[in-house]
Amino acid sequence: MTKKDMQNLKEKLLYRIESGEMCMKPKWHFMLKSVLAVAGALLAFVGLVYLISLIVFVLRLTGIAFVPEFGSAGLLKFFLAAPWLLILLAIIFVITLEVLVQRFAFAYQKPLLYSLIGVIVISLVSGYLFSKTPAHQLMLEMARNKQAPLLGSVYRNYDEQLMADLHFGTVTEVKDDQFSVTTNQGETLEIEMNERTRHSDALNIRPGTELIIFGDRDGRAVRAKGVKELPEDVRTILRQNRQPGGVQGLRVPQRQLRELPTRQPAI
Amino acid sequence: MGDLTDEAIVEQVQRGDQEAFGLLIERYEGKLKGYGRRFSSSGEDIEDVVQEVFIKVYTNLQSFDIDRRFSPWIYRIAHNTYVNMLRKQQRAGLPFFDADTLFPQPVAPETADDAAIHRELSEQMGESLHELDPKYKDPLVLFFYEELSYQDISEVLKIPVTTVGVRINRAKEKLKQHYQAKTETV
Repeated sequence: MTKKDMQNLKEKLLYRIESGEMCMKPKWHFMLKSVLAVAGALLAFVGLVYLISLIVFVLRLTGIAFVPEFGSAGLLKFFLAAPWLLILLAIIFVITLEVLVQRFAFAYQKPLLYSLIGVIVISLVSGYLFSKTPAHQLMLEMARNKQAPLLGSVYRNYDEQLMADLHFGTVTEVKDDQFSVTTNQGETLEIEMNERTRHSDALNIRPGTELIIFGDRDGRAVRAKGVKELPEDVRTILRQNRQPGGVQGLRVPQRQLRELPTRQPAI
Repeated sequence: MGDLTDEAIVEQVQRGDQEAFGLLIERYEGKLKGYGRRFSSSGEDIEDVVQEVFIKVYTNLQSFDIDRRFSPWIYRIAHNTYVNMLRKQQRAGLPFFDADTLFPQPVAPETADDAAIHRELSEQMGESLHELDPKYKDPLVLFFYEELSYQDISEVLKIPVTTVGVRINRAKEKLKQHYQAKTETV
């Protein structure tokens, strides 16, 4: 390359700068871009944490979280009834967040697997911790009272989701291998247990115990495949459900009670 | 002015000294043309593309953080511009994702003893370079011809540092195979 060629390019470009044809973008333009990139990543992270916590909440609210304890039939039930739409949405958020994070040197200088694992682990832990706060419970209450216009239908759909083989209820009477429960809908069901019924050794069935029962229903009789005492946080949600104005049994139409649909709610 | 670092010159330009940008052009024009020639054999295209690179550099100069090194930054802009040029020429997409960037890879670090081999290899590999896949050619060119470190190449190509090492080693292997096949036929 000759000195002349270099002069040419240099002079050509300096001339374009002096004439104002070529100018620098201002610093604020780049600062705004950086702020937007960070804000976008943060927004995706917050969205992902919210979704994960909502999935955990929905799994507990509907009882699906407990069915894998009831053996292979429970596992199958879990895969069939899990909130796949929310899970799919969470996966889309993970991918979006990973793409946004890859803009930053701390992420692209390390193998993709590291940042992906980082994104997933941090989001799962944060989502789980967030699910332990009363935020979703409050949202559910607002949704029940029609005070949450934006996400209310999501919470209501999952709240009203009834499954033919999952029953929440309080024990009213105990016989040998059978007991009666009053469900949240105000029905009385006769629960039959046998040697194949899965439950923990610590399970103590007595009047007043609040249970989740997994098993097919035949009229008022339920042949239990699994029985579990409800954890305290789920009991709290369901108790609120039975308070005046929040009794699920009063809000669910009788037709729905008879049909007990297993459909996934749309969001 | 000649003793000033690239970063100090950039700082002057950022403060409004337009003439100082001429120094950056003098320092990098030859390097960028050389780098561009390893992407494309068409000389005319390179002239235009290098001009485009400098326009982008000047336009975006306020985004450069003077606490960082300037050469990976300008090579990053040049690399993206050349890749875009290639895309236009070939009308074919270059790979977006590669498994090399997914997993952690063990790789030997750069050593000072590499210098002699470095010079010898860079002389030998010129003609065989175009046989290589761009994903191997790019880090090799930046390492042997532009003499950037693994860390700088990682900045330019936006790939993990370990992947840079792996790709350079694979590129050397492929060049070796190509060289052996060539000597056998002769």
